[in-house]
Amino acid sequence: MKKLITIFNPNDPTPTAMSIRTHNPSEVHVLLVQHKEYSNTQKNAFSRFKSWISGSIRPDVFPKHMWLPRMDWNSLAEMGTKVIYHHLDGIPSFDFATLGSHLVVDFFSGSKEMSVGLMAHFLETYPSNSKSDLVVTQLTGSFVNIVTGSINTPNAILSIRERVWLSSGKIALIGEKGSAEIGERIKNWGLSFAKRKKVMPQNTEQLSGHLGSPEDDFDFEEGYWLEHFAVHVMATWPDVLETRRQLHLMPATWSEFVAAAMSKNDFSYDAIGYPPRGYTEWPYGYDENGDRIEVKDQQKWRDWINEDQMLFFSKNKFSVEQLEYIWSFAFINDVDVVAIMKNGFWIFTECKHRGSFEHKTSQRLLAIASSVAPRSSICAVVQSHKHTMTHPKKGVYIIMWPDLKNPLMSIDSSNPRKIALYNHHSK
Amino acid sequence: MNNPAAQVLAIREYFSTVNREEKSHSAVFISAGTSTMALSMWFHARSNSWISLRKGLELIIWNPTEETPRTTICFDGTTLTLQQILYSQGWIYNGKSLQNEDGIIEQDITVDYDTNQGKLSFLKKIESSESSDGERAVSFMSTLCDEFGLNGATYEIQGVLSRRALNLMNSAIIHTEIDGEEE
Repeated sequence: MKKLITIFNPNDPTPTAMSIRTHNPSEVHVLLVQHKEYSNTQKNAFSRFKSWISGSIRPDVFPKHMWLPRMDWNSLAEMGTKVIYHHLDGIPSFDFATLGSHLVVDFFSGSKEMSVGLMAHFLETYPSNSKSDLVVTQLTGSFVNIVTGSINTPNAILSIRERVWLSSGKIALIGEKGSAEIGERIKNWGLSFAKRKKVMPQNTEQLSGHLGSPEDDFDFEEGYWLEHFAVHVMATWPDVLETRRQLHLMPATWSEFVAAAMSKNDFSYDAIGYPPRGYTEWPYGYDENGDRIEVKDQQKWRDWINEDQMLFFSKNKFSVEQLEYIWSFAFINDVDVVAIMKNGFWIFTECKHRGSFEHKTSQRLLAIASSVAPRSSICAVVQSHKHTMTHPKKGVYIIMWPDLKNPLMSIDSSNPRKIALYNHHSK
Repeated sequence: MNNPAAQVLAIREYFSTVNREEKSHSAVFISAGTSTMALSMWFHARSNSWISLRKGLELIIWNPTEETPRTTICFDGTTLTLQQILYSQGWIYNGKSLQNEDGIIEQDITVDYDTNQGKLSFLKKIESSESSDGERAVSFMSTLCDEFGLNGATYEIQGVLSRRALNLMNSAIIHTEIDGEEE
């Protein structure tokens, strides 16, 4: 029986969850130090952690029939892990002796001071320390034994959806996975300079065939093809674990979810049967022509429409296709391509196939990266007109799409500011 | 060097001559470096005491194996200046705009350093209701959060933010619509 001891990290529960996923223990002892003193933000973090343990992040107010089952994952109980919380005033009040001496103590989660206190307390209880492992899980998911220096591969790592939930409290929907095989076929694609302001691919019909399903009809004047191109080519980089197209981030509150979906310009009310004049009666009366009497206060209109739409969704059942359709529009933030690196870093990529791009694109990207993968993310804009820059500009790497064929150099730092995205000599 | 296993082995090697039976009169400073490094140092150096730097610029010295009280030394915050702290992370502030070596720049931002608490504060006031101004402010503050962390600084945006800007907000950033009214 593998027993794991870990301190709960109240500012961001991700390290605690990573530690559990890495070790896949039979029993995990989560130490909650001064839990009563938690701030509201820390209490929210603890709630997210408990939802993660339960395997479902569906908020209570979210109607069950509106939830996509594929948003859930296996609970820790289903994975054979029992969770035991220890509410402590301080680390010394934790009683190691009751757990026996065959333990894995992971110091990845919690402050360094608490971790050293935990180790000192452990060594006091078991001075010879021959049967337990003192380890630190790394961003990669592997864990290092701090006594022997041995490194071990993880049992499993957190998925993108789990990471997004734990770090930011948002629900993530991810699209197509990049294929290194397709990436290899297209990464050296011929270029056309027929357009003055942007580099185009040659033989677009043939490229289209490689990029998508037969029904995908790419317009190479627009940028959609570039997302498909980038997700596959980035999958060929040796340091990349996985790439995904279209990371959509949804709010975890029901009213915001509904508002996010219904406010998109290209969302079709007909597709879900929402009445054009609303589901409920207009509360502010009608004129002699039967038209609604307008309200001067726009907030009153917004409140009514949101209530009306929430009621519509709550009272009606939808087909699987309709449900997927609603979910595909309910995002508040999105990223074109996400790459997860072997060292645990994320690359957030925005694709722009235009003759110019605005810096607000990269500003949004930086903010999303900071909330989803704080201190472990790199932002890049893949585009068609500017030369690739080997150093970040305003915190974002600018990559001309044909240069995606050059793989990332091995990232050898835990500090994003010290990372060089490209090996300069390879260009 | 981002090879944690090699770091542990190097630390173990360095302290291999330490006589584990003898009481060590050293202390390990645990606030610097990664957890892997700090814990390896603590374990292999066999020090009885550690030193940590806490909020409020307190240096705590403690020997957990003895029932003696912790020693607290208050670090004099005035020995560091705002510019020195910012520069240590690659940032420069001219009293109005804040800029780093990657060219990230924000105009009209207030940056203060509390020498008693040892804490930085970043305040950005949004004057216009343009969505892009708010998004830029949120993005910039998020970058600062990554640079200066949660314990050593506070981040505040004052002014009306659009829904798009609010959707980007990081929980570490305080937002007030007007002076002192938290959202």
